[in-house]
Amino acid sequence: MNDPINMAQPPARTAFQLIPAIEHKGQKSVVSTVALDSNGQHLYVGTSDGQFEVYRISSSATDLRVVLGARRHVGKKAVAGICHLPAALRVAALIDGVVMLLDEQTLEGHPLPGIKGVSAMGVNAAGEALAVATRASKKAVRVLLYTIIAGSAAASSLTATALCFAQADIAETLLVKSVSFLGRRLVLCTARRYMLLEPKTGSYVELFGLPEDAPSPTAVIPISQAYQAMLVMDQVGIVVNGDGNPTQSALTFPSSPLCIAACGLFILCAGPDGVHVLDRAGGDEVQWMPYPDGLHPSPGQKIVAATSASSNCVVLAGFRKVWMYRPVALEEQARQLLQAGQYDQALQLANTCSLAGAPWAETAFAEAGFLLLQELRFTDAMQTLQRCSTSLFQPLELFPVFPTETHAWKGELPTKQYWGLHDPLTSLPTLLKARLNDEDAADAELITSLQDDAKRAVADYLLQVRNGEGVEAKDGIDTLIVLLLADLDRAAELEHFCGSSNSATVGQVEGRLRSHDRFLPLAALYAGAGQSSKALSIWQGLADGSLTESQADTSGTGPSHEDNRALALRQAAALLRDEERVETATALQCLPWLIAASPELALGLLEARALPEDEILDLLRSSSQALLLAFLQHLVSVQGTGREDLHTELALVLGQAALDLLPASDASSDQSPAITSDMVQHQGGAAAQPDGEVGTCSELLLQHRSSLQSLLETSDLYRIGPVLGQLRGTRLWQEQVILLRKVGDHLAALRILALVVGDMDAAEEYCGKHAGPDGFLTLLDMLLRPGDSRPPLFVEACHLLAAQGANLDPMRVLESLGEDMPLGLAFPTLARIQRERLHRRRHTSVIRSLNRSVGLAAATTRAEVMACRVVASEERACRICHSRVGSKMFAVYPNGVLACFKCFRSCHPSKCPVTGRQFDEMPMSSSEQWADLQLS
Amino acid sequence: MIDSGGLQQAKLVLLGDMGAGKSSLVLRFVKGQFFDYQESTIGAAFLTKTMPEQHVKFEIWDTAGQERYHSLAPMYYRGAAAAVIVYDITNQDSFSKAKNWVKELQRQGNPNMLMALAGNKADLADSRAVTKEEAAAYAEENGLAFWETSAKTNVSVLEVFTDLATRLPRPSAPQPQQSSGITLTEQPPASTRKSGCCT
Repeated sequence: MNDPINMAQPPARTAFQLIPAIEHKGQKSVVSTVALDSNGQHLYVGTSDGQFEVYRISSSATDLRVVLGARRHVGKKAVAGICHLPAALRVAALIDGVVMLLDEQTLEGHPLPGIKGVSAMGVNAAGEALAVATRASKKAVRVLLYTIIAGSAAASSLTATALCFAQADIAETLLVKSVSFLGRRLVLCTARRYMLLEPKTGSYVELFGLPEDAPSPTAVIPISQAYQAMLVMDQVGIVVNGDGNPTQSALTFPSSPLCIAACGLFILCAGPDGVHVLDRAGGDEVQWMPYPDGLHPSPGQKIVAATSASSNCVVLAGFRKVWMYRPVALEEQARQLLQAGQYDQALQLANTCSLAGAPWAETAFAEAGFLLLQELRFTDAMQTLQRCSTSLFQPLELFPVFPTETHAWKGELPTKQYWGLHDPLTSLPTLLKARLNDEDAADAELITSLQDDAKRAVADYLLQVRNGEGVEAKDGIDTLIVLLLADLDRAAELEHFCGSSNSATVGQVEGRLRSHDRFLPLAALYAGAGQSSKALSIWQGLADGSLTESQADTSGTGPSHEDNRALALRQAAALLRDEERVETATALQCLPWLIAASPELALGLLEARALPEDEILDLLRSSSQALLLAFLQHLVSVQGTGREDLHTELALVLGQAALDLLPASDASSDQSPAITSDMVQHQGGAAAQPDGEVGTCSELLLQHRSSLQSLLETSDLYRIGPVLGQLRGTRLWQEQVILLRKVGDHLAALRILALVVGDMDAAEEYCGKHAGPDGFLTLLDMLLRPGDSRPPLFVEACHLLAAQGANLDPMRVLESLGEDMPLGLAFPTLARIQRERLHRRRHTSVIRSLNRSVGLAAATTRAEVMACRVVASEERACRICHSRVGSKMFAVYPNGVLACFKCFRSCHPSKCPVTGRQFDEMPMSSSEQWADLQLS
Repeated sequence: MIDSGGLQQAKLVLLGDMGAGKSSLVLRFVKGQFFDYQESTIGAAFLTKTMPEQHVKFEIWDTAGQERYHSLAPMYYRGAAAAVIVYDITNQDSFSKAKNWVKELQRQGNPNMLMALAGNKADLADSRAVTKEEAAAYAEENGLAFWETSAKTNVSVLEVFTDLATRLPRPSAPQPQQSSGITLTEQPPASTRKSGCCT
């Protein structure tokens, strides 16, 4: 097998291309410095004899031409530095301690006035500010910042105005060798140390010192696009941010650098053996380029370098030759790396560019994914493909790896080329065969392992992405997931997947799932696809054992058969509850086996779903009494059915259930008082605990009796006859009492209470509530003459009399007591009755006398009133309306005030309308005379 | 500093003589790895390690032990919340260097910096040159936490960092940002001297 692991590889990447630029022709001079303009279209060259040249660079995809634009002699000594100032259209040239400001095209210009002894200069990223370092004194250096203004603001087109806007002195005996802007600050480098200067305040800090023998260059390399700078010391480059703090691990150069340039994501380090290209972030060397002819430095020779601000070009110059290093497009680099199988580097590059928003990065990920897949690095491939959006890569593009499983979606496969680096995907066996050598290809264990790896990786990937936005062929993806999970024996995940929302095509997976004995997922898929009957059929098979779920599981601890059976039942019951997905007929069809398999789930179904009652009841009557009882209780208590037959049946079933639970001897028709202790205490109350000697009522019995009593009490819908017929003669006394009360057979009810059960309190309460006064007498009579040769219950009788005697007819009590009643026992009662009779007689006498007195008084008043007369004449007028009464009807108030009937009707009848006297409060006495009546 | 995940970010620097085992210690702590032949660190290496239980994310600067790179150290220990000074228990000279580092940190480092002294290579106790008592006494005298560690056998490595993480002062309120370096001089910008001609 080919080694799938990408081992550390030598740098074989082409990050930069080397292109010869110019060759200096001067016999007595050499190139002393180079620079590029901000966009890399002009090359500036300074020479050791003070020549300054500008070249125009014109490049195409295949060609690069460098043409001399202008040349000017700017001084007698070597040009030490060049800075392009694009904002001012100027170039600053440092020569013999003087800064010359030259027009960028014609090279006409003048020195920066008033300043000499400049040792270093630098320009900011915008190309408008120039920093120059000079010596202020023997112990100090001075840094000045200028803004360079050109064009109309300047005095002439050939001159520029330089405005010094900041100046700082630094205690330093050595010359500043390098100046670089770092945001608002400046980094300075002397032979002894690096410093960070805040030009506006003049404060500065030492970043670090340098050993005395630190080799050149000790320079600051601006990394302007990242607002960072690299400080070089020996073979180490320390990248710092605007605060002067290090930002990453130090870069280590392969050898002591002769010069260094930063370009884009890379650092170019020119060493004795060539140019090394390092990845700026990671520090890894990505390319090494030996020097071309004419550039190879001799010992001690200086190499100079420059980078354009736009990072599209780097120039390196020896004494005579200037070479350009053009960065290869990052996309092309990624392509090359993928082609070379350097996936880690390619992915690292794509990652970096993806963060920067490069649109090709996704294509690189897709290509890498395909290539890694074909390298049999399945997990890496899938992780890489996850980086792709669906607008570029669709998961269904992996279907060719599993052609059998995805045959139905073959027509939907898109045809994409990407970068064309990978071969078309083939089936997994073909892929393995192509990648493995003969020995490995014959290793069945290895093949199986690799196939499992592939399936696992793809399944995981598809599970991750299937719900992503814009994913196509979801049905195919879900189908493939099911098949892969089944092949991998990932039982739990398979069941979860099939049981949740998915688009898998059942027809495509049924065969595989059945062959793997994965019936639970298959049933879940059927259920999800609306084929409930098939799902139920499978669950039924699992429940009755005709089907057996595979226990193979990757975790090694799969569920037991019993767990699977229980799960099948639960899922079946859950589906049957769903009225929308399962028709009534299907539910009824499945009910018998569900009842047989799990009565609890069946009851849950019956309670949750509306099914034809009669059919259910017929089924339950023949199958399960317990379920019948529970269902009837649900119908009556929960649904509140008004069907008499159901109420009656519930009472009968409850009664039978209670009777079945009674011990055999207790259930017989034995009314002996000796067994009366087992009595449910109170009508309408809960079943009481037995007193002790029997004590055999189980909790269930109590529950049934409580339910039965409650039903008998509260329901008026059951037919009493059959229920009473069932209970009569059994020991369910309380229930019989309720039924007898309902049919009005108080005698029988009281007999049970008083004689069978012996609960006198209950019997008395029954009399008070239901049987009326006659009931007490009936009870008394029953106590005194219990029959069946039983002795009279005198004590109970006296207790009854003591409680209720005052309300009973004494004569009837006396008649009831009979001759056998011991006088001693009856004395208190009889004495009380006698006292009460005497009191009642006297009381009645007083009442009668009082009533006679009242009658006499009334007769007297009537006689007096009858004696009054009134004479009405034509002159008599109503005292209210003063109209003449004449022959009209009139009324006379008790005080003699006369009013026409009309006025009388409109006034209060018991209040005199003239005097205002209230006759009901102040009646007329016989001595008072009518004021305006004339007695006849 | 608290990042968006509620973790306290803390700069931690490892200092010590060359070959004391700084990189091995960090590698064991961060990646759980150990290599018998660990390459010398050049410049400094940067690693991060999150300690979720302590809610701390360490930004670790593993400095070079070579004397040549000594001058770089201030850049790394400036603003550090914690420092681990490592010496080799089999090398008395490395203990002396460690003492020098302690002095330097006491003199120039963050005054609130937590410091731990780690006597590494405890697995080579047979070749011990620095007694535990001596180092412990020195640590106590200077207010340092002291551990004898072995990156090779993974002895007390996690403990060193856990102890520091636990003792880190929790930021209660935003502190004014410290200067990134030592201000050597601070003077107002000198007035531009008028030269003979205008500019």
